Amino acid sequence: MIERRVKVCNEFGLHARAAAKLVKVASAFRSEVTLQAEGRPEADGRSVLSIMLLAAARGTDLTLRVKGEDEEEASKALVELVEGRFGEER
Amino acid sequence: MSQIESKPKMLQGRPLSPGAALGTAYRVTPRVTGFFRLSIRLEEVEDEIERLQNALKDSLRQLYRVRDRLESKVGREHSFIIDAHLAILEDGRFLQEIESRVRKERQSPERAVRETAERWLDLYRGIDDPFFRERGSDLEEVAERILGNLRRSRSRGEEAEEAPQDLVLVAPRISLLVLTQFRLDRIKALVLTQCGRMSHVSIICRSCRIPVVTGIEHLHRFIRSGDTLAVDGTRGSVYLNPSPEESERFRDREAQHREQEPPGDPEPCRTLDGQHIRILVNTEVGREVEMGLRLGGEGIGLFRSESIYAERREGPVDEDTQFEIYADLARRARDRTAIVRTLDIGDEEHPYFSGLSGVPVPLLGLRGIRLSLRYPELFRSQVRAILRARAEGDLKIALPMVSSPAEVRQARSIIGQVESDLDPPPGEVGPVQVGIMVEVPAALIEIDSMLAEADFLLVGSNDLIQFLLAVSRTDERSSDLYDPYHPAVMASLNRVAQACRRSGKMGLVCGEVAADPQYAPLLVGMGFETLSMNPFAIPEIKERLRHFTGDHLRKLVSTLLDMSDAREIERRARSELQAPTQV
Repeated sequence: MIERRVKVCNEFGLHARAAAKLVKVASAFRSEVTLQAEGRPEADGRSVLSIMLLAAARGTDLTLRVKGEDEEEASKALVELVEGRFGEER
Repeated sequence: MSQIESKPKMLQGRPLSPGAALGTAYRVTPRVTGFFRLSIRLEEVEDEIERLQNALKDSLRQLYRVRDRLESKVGREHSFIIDAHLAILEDGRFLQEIESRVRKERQSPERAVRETAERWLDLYRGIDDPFFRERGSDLEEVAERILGNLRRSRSRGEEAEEAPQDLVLVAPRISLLVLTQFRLDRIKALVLTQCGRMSHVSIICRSCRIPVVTGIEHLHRFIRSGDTLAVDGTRGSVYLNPSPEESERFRDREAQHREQEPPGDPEPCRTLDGQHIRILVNTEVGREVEMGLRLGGEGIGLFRSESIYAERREGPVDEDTQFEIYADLARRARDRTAIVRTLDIGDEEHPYFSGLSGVPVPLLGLRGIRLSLRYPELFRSQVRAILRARAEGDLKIALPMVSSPAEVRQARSIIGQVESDLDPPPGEVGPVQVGIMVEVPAALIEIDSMLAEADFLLVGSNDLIQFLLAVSRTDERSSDLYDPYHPAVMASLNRVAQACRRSGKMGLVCGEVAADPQYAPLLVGMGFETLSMNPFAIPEIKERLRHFTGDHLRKLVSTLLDMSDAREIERRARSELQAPTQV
């Protein structure tokens, strides 16, 4: 299992559209993906509703856990997505 | 007592979105939960799963259609609502939970959708951050949509409910969700009991040019599905089963109104007694400038500069980029004046500025000129960009949210410094004119000393009314209290007009009231000679103002100012300003 810390840095945080992108990327891999923010229940990386429950506004630290045969590539892609502000301009 | 209530021919309400339309009434019944079975039998599982899948597919299809339509008609600022709904509808966890409740617990699909949604909603209700907590309401709407589609599939075949092509939707109130279940191009008009002027529904109807009348009580007593209705969204009246002649008249007006772009009206707007009323354009994008001028605008009354931040939210928009935008504005306006309002991040949360101030930018508090003065470098670079662009045309500056003369002096002194440091010097254009936005009640109370510091003023009536009446137009529950006919609003606007007259300085009104065919004449009666509005409203307002003499309007306003009841004021204004019978 790979564990990574990553900071949410896009303007609106993990809102619906950003969450949907995360789901898309997570679903492209076979590994299991979970996310955790302090004080919130662990979220399933493939569920928008569950990710939005993280209430992760800009500046939130997330713990990303990826487990499975392609965990290396998956975690890399996911960290890139979050750090790249989900492809949003700001 | 046992007499049957005779149906009136005409119902009077309040206009929310102008225009005229003739169509067939369609009563939108409020969503009733309806009865559904709680459990199903083992042998029904596969059929019920199929019914569920179909309802989900229908929901997806509807949402994609709605999104495309909203995006092309209204733009992305409203279509994002639908994106959130789509993401939820495609959420694997959500869908699996529903399906497993049907398969394993043999719940009916209706109950499974309800209970699943309810379980998630409980979790959302526990979130502290209001932005994320609100996402629960998206989930609620999605669940409603699925349930609606389940209901439809159950009654399939029983009554194929074909909605007519020329719908006039009739309902006590209507949500965006319900509205978007109909094809917007089939909706001729809305007739409602309650609807906020600034709700998504009314904004969307105004931009799609769908007439809306609200404020009609007990609709169900008077209107049945299938009745022919002639809706006058400009005056707020609805005619029941009109005569063939009346229908013809409405059809003509409708044809005029529905044109994508109304014919321009290049003639200046003069009242019957020859007073020239200048009609200017409100805009936030350069593209709209030409349209506004073509439709008959005589200049740009309000360029909302915060729109430059709509695209770029990462950090400050640099001076050169801003210069290009303002120079483009000046060129498009050709030799006409364009007033640029400096940054007024307010109503909406803006992440860059939220980061700057540590909290979301509120409606009250640190916004407008206050934010600019708090971050003078930001302000300086915007001012420098505007001043440089003055080489291309006649740009003026308006300061938003000012609340004291000292604040205006402070802003002007920065503008003066930037102007004198300009390199190269501005040449023969002369010092820039600086105006103030009158929105904060403090500015209104101190109007004379405020105006002494400014070259002109703009009344931002939308915010002024909100602040005066302490209502939020974005809060559906109180937005009905937002009322331009409130005597305090009338008195305030009149007071501003008087101050402008005394000082000989230009006062223009740029809020929604200026674009309201019922209200614009009252502004003229108060003494305003310049009105600024969205491009589409221009021809109608110009034409309307030509029907009255300034004298008549002044007398009417003075009568209205003595009245104390908003509804009576509105009624009186309406009856005095009846469109003159055609000669």
